[in-house]
Amino acid sequence: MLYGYGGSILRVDVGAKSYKIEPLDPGMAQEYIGGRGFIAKILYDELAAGIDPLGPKNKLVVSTGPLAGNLAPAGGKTHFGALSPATGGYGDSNMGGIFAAEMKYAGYDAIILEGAASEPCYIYIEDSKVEVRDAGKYWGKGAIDAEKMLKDDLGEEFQIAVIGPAGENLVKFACISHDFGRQAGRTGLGAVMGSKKVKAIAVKGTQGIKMADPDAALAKGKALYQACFAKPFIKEWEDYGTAGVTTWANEIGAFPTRNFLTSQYEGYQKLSGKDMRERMVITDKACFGCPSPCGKYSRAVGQGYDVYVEGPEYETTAMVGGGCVLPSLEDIGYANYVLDNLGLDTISGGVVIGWALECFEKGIITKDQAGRELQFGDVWSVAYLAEKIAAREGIGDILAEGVKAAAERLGQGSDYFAIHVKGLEWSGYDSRNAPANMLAYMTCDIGAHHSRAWAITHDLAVGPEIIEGKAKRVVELQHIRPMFDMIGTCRLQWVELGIELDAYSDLFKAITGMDYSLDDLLKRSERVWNLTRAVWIKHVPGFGRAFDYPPPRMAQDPVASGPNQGKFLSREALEQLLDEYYQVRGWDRNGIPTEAKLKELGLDNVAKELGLALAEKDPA
Amino acid sequence: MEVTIKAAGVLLNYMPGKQGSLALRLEKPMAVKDIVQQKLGLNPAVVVAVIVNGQRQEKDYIPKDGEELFLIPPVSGG
Repeated sequence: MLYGYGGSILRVDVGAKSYKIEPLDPGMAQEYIGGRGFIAKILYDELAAGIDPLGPKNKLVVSTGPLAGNLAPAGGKTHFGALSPATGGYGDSNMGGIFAAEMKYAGYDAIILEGAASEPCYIYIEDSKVEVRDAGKYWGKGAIDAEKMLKDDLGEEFQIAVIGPAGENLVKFACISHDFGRQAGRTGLGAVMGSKKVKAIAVKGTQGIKMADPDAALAKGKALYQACFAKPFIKEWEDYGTAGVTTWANEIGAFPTRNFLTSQYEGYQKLSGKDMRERMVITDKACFGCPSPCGKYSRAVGQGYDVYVEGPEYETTAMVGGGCVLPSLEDIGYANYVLDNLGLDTISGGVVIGWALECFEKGIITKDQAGRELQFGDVWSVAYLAEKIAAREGIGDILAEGVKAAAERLGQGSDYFAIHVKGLEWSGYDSRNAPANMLAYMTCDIGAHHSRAWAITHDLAVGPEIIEGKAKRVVELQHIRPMFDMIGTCRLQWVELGIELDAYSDLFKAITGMDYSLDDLLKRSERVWNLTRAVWIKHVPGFGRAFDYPPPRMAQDPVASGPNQGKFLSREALEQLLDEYYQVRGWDRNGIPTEAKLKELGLDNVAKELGLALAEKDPA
Repeated sequence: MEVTIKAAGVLLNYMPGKQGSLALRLEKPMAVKDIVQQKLGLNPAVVVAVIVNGQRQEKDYIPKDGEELFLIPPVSGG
């Protein structure tokens, strides 16, 4: 008997309009835990090399972990994964909200969408009742608008994951949205959903979840909640959410500004979390079971707009605000709303639009091509480009491919300032004076993303000039943070409030009955990290070290102004970081996991398959 | 004078001896940023602000004798 889990996997063939409910394999639960662990396992096992990420053979996996929907604080994380249309490699992204708990209550630890429909549809799930329904009336609607329509039609108790027009039109940084402002934003998974013609997944569950030791789970869960409430800085976190870091990121020179030309926004004080709280926030908004709500529901009012939006989060403030140099929090809030409703990831969207604005300044994109004048600091330029991208109209069709592909298409040196790793646009921390954080971006298993190993405080504490030893900390973080993505809870109670990691393994034990220590869980996290690397190797020809470098501006341009003016990491430093990282990981100098490492992690089949695949690619 | 420094979360890794609570004797009143730098040996940039008596204070706050200072770590979400 599996405790803590929904117990089943729902597999839907959207083209055939058929489905199967499979029992969750206890071995998979024990070895991969859940969430991104399940996603990595399913994608590695089930996707053939050479498939098109936007073709019917790709699979969209929705998964959560055993602590979600249970008595764990903030057990509300839903993970989505597929072969990424943005990068061609492993892709996953997660969101908060209520969807994870609801799918568990319907009995599912994972939902796998296969095939592709010929007409727009949505997946209706009410416990074991599953239907592929017509979505003609929702197709073409904004993500926020369509979620409202579905709630009105199905009932408030249904939880909805939905795409906007960007996903329908296969924009490679389209997101999946939920709860009117939560997004699985990264790696273009909205486009995978759109390629299957699936507008939404609607789920309602009425079942319970059996726990191994309910009394212990209640006691430990309650103690964790009380520990969160007792933290003196919980108020700071609740007041400002992630926007609380904007001022700090500017003070230390890490705030991406003007398409990463510099790392401090002139006049950044007016973008502070305090200002946002005082001027825009209407109420706090929490995910399922969260003791420390960081979501901020705001009203943005400016000349020509008046909208309600969840946010802006720090990342949106950085990438849409700083990256495009928008002059006010209100403008950022409006742009946030536009991108959210179109179903565009605000991180990638901000980078792509910032890059396009610089291209316009440099004459690489002309007024004729753009269809109008464009400029940094102009919210209407941002909104205009977002709409063109989502509709794939004019210049938007090129930009919809993501910054790497768009730069390859437009040429004229524009790849120099196209900021991405592996094809995924860089998120909100300039790392030219932060080697550990730079390495975290270089080696993140989905591309340039911060959440797998946010190491910038380590750089500040240990010293930004130090290179040696940074890889060890990055690897530790790459196991700790993704562990949360396996158990199904938010990590913020650990990293922001200071809840001890051991508390999570204790609660895991009480809920699942699996007698795993923290180290046991982290070892599984390491296994998943190696498996996601294997997905890259399997699907991307020639994958290896060459894919782990930052783009030219981030690698060799000195920061233009601010506290890190003139700083950048030398080529030697980048090489040393990678050498040490591969060594700590037990990978070879090309960044390929060694057979010994894979076997140590119980990935014998992967060792064998990768060995064969690499031998085929390089017979010598 | 004496103040107590408390830290949690990401900052705990960098506190002397990874201690969550440290009592410090100060010869003279000092700003929080100077205490962090001179007494804890930490870059003040790793601290966003402090909580004193339930109130947020900036890093240039000068604590009084006997006060407890909770260091606020930078947030990392988004």
